[in-house]
Amino acid sequence: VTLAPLHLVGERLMLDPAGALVWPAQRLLAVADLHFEKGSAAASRGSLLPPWDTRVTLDRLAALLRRHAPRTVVALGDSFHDAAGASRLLAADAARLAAMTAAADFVWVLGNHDPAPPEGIGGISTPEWRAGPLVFRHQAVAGAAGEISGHFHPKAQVPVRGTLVSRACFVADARRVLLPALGAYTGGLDVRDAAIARLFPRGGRIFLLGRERLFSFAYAAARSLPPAPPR
Amino acid sequence: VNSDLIYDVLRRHQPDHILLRATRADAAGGLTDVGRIAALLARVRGRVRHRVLSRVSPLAVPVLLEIGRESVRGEEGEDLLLEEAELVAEAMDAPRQGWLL
Repeated sequence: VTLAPLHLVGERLMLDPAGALVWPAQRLLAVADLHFEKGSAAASRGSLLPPWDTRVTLDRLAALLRRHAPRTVVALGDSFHDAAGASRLLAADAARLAAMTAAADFVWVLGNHDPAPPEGIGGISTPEWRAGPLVFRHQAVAGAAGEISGHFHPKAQVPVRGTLVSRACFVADARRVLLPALGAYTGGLDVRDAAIARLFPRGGRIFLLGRERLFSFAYAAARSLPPAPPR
Repeated sequence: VNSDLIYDVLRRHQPDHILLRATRADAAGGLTDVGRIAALLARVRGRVRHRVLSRVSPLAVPVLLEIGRESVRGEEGEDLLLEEAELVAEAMDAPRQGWLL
C-alpha cells in the first residue's frame, strides 16, 4: 500500500488509500464517519439491512491500526450512527472495539449523528481536538486553517476513456483536508456539490481511494454528472 | 443505502444471503450464464462436429457480434483506468504550471 504525502500548515501528513489520515510526527491516525450500527438503526425503523456493517467497519479500522500502530486515534464524528448506537453493538464487536481503545488513545470527536459522548467504549469525547497547528473537527468551518474534518463523505467522479469512475475521496487544499467516510454503509456526497465546493473556492486536489494507492486529480477534474449506466 | 455497499458487506459476512442468491440469478439472466454454457458443453460432448466454412455461417453472426461486448468491470479494472487518467492529467497539467507540481 502506498501512502500519499500532503503538507498542511507546515505539517507533513500522509493519506492512506483505505481512507485515513496519518500524522507521523504525532503517531496519530484520523478516521471519519464510521457510522457504527447504521444497519441496526435502519432495521429499528423497519428498513431491514444486513447487520454486519459494524463488523466490516471494524475490519477496516483494525487493518489501519495494524499498519500504522498509532499512539492516538481521532475519530472525526458520526462514529456512531445515532446516540444509542454504542448500546446496540453486538458483544463480539463491542469487545473488539474495547481492545482497540485499550491499545491506543481514542479521541471521539462529536458529530451531528452522535452529539453525546459514547458510553462504556473507552477513549475521550470532545467537540473538537487541537494538536499543534492542526484542529480536528467533524464539520469544516469557513475560514479555518490546518483543519482536518469529515462529515461530508466526499466522493468524486472522474472521466476515464469515455466513462466515469466514481470513488470516495479526500479533498484538500493548503488549509484543510476533508476525509472520506470509513463506515461500511456510508454513501457519498459529490465533491462538486455546493456544500463542499464552497470550502474550496480556489480549487484543490482530490485523492480517489484505490486498492493499493490513491489517484490524485485537480478538483476541477471531477465531473458532476451521474455515472453512466452499465453497458 | 447503496446496493453495492450491502453487496460488499454480505459477500464477507453472509455469502449465502438471499439477496446475493437473487443477484447471482439476475446476473445469470442478463449476462452470459457461465453455468449454463458449461452444462451445454457437457451435454454435447462427443457430439460436436467441427467444420471450417468458407464464410461466416448465418447462425454464427449474433454470437460473433456479442464477442467483447459484455464486460463487468471490477474495482481492479477501474483502478487501472484511474491510473491512466491520472497520468494523462499530470502530463497535461504540468506544462501549464511550469512543471512545478
